Amino acid sequence: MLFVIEIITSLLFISTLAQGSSQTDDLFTEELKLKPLPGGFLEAHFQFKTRSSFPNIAHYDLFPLAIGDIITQFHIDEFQLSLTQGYWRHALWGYSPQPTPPGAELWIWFSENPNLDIDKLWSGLTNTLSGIFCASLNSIKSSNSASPQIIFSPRGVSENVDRNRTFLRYATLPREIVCTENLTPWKKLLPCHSRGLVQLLDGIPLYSQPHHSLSVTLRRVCPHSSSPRCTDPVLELTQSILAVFDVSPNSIGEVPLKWSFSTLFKRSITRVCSLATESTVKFDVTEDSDSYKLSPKSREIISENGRNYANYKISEFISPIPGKSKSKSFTLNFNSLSAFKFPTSHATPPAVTSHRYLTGVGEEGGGVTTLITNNLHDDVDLVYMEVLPWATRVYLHTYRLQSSTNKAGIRWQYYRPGRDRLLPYHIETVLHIPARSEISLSYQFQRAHLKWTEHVPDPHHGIYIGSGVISIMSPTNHTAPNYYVIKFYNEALLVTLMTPDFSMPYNVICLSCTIVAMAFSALHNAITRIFSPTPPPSSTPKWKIWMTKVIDIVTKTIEKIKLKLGFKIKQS
Amino acid sequence: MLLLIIGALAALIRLCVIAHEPLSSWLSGRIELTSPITSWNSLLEGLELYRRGIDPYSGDVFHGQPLLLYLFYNLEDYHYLVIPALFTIADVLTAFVLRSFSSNILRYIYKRQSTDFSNGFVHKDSKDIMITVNHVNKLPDYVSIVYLLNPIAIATCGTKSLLIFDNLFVSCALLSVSRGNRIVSVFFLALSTYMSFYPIFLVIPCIWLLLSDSISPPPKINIEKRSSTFYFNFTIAFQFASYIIAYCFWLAGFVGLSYLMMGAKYDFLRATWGGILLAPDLTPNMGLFWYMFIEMFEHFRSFFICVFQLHIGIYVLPLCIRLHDNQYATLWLLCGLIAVFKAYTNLGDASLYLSLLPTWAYCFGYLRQVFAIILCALVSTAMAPFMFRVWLVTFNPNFFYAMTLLYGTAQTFLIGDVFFAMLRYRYALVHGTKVKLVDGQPAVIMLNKLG
Repeated sequence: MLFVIEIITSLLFISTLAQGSSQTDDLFTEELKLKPLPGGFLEAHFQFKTRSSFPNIAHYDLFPLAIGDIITQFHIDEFQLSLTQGYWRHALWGYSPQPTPPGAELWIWFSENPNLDIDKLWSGLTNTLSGIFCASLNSIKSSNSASPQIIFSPRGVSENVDRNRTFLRYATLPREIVCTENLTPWKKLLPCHSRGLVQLLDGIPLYSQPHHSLSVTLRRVCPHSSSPRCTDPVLELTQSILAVFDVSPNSIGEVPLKWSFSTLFKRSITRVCSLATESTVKFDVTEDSDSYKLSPKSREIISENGRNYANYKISEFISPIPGKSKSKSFTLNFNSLSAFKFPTSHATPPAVTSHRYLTGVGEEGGGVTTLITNNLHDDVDLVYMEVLPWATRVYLHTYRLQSSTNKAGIRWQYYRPGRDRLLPYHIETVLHIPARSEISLSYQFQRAHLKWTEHVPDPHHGIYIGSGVISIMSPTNHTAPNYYVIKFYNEALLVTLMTPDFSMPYNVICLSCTIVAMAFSALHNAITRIFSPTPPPSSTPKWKIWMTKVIDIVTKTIEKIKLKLGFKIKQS
Repeated sequence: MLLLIIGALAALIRLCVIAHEPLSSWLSGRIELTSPITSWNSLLEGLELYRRGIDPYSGDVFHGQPLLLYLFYNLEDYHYLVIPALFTIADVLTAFVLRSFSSNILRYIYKRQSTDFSNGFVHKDSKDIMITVNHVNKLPDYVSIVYLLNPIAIATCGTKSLLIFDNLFVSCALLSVSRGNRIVSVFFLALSTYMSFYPIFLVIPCIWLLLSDSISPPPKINIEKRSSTFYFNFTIAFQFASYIIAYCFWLAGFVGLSYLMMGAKYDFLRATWGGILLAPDLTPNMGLFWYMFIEMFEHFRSFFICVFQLHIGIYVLPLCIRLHDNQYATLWLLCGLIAVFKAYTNLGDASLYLSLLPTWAYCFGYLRQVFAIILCALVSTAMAPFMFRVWLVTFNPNFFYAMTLLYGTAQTFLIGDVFFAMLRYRYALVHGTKVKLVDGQPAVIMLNKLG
């Protein structure tokens, strides 16, 4: 009986799936890419892609309803929200497949419609997103939002290439902490909540890693036509998690390295997500593939973007109908053989690296210095953007570029000064760096003093300056038609501000007004009174006068009593 | 002659301090000597933004007036010593202007006391306390020496603070008023109001002084009764109105020039006068405003801003009326009150009125709180840098705040005490130095009756 019901439900599933995919462009794919990184780390990149028809989203069986509502209500063309804990060390690990800065980052391209009030849409959207993802994105206000001028060009298809930049908004919250409350609503946006690769995403093992990042990206793609003019774009929502696991051996000499899904994620995949057209796990076997052993053995090796992957289709290992003869769960096991070594970062360093740090002694001021190194054999042009909070007031006249050659230079710079409590400081620079050289950009800033109500909780920790964004336009040929954009981030900085004493408001008002009152009283006294001669103060001290008065009253009272009682007073 | 040598020496010291780069930039970082309004770094920032075509007032770093921007924009291209020389010359010139001003004050008081003496209004016992020719010749020299050799004035000059120009324009205004030069005085008053807003409180006493030939009572009237004899008619009202209109004309001229320079936008007023009056920048300095408004409840912020800014204004008319025959004293007292209670105070603000203090040396016998004043002033000035360092270490600004309060107390005591001494001196002139009561006992003179 039960068996019959299961067959019927699975047949219904398959039929709806078949209907869905043949009717419109609705599509859901999931994949997990694993790659060893230099330094003893393992990168796990989950990508869940959902496609839906555009402009009217017909069905919400794959595409999440919450996102669909937001797109129509706030007139969004593209957006990306990311919540990251930890810094992606691009100098050690290479460029990230999903570059995100530490903390929260949100950028949105609104539809180019002059009737829209972008500020209102931006604040409404940040509040809505903070409700959906349980993140405090509602602290994004005009005082930490900027409109980048060159970086963050649209990543998908759009009507015109050169869009009006007032419709782009960018904000970053470096202080934002990512926790499992952000993972749970993120998981709810997926069509399969508890089947497929989502089963590996458990908060506690994932969130104790040195770097983990959660992101939601929306853009329009054109899967059908290959011509530049796209006639029928399709909405693509990509939800991705990028986690870096520390799999280096715990003790020296422990060469047989083993890890598996149960040691990393503490879970395994037990069910297949039947709504997914593709559900795969890929392991990067480009380098040293014979120095380790993967089990289960991969049935095929595919090649993608110049790298070879061992491809595991989950549906081949687990049956969609539970209870059938195939294995009950899928776990990838990695066992290293004796010749195993982690890849080294020095073999192919990334094209451009950057490092940023604070300078300055004491707390009245300070400086920021950024080092950008070009490791290529060609000159490179790149864009570097920094958005600083208004509390660190930038002195633009101290902006200096230093390099060992004199061919490096600033080609173009956009600077928008900040206003206290209203706007941040926005610096966007196009730099030219010659081959195999390093430049250093430095400037000074002044620390503002905030009102006592404006300090964040735990004010002695300080405020964060968000990561700088570097975007390399074309590292290879500028005239090549298919150029790609590499974007990466450098370090976020922590600046301590001079804090007032938070327990003192009444005291300060009283004391400051006392000084004013002292001046007022002295001057008022001298203005409204005139001099007159007065008798000098008597030389007997006051207590003696008082004592004589008291003795006087007492003796008089005793005499009255004596009179009343009939004693005769001696007449002298 | 000696004065010229001291002047040259002081100019040399100032030039050395400004041109010596590590010392100058260390001084520019001192919180007691610079403020956001007068800081040289913010002027450099404004120049940089102006050079790049960005509106210098769109950010919150630059609060100077557009004409200053224009001046330094054109001066930057010359030899690197031109700007230090400009600051040094302005400072030394201020010292000599103050000397002339104080000399005019003393001459006026000497002349008035001689006429009063010859008309018999001065008590016979008070001949000793009257001003002598020695005072008139020596005291102005002391005034300029105090300004030239004051280490705080030298340090303020070393930071290339824009306060130097504020002090110069205010002292030029005071000098031209004391010489009776009407057009020049109105010009300098308008210029100093344009630069920093507070000299607007000096307008009424200055106009009173310019009109004083017409409105002062003739010398045949007793000193005590002079307050009740004002000569008021339409000629005086007309002259008063004409001075006010001339002042407003010059002020509108400066504001209009700046408006045209900034491309026909009034945005600069929000950053310059708005920055002074609304005190949005809460950087610590030696004044009372910053900590008050850091710790202010939001509900009361606008109320207290109004109270603190109007507070100086309530003293203008009462002081004018009380010191009707010696308006120079009113000007001095108002300069002192502005220096204590303005929004962004530095140690350099006090150097203007402190250097004029020797002018009133004739009444110093009646000062009562000398020890307290000197103690408070020395402790606060010496300890303030150390207490600021303690703030950086212990995250507690109350140490530095206490020093600013002490500094305010010292100045308040000084101003109040000198005012008291002036009035007491005048009483002693009229009634003699030894006043006896009816029964023959020596009397104590106190402020008693409400007058």
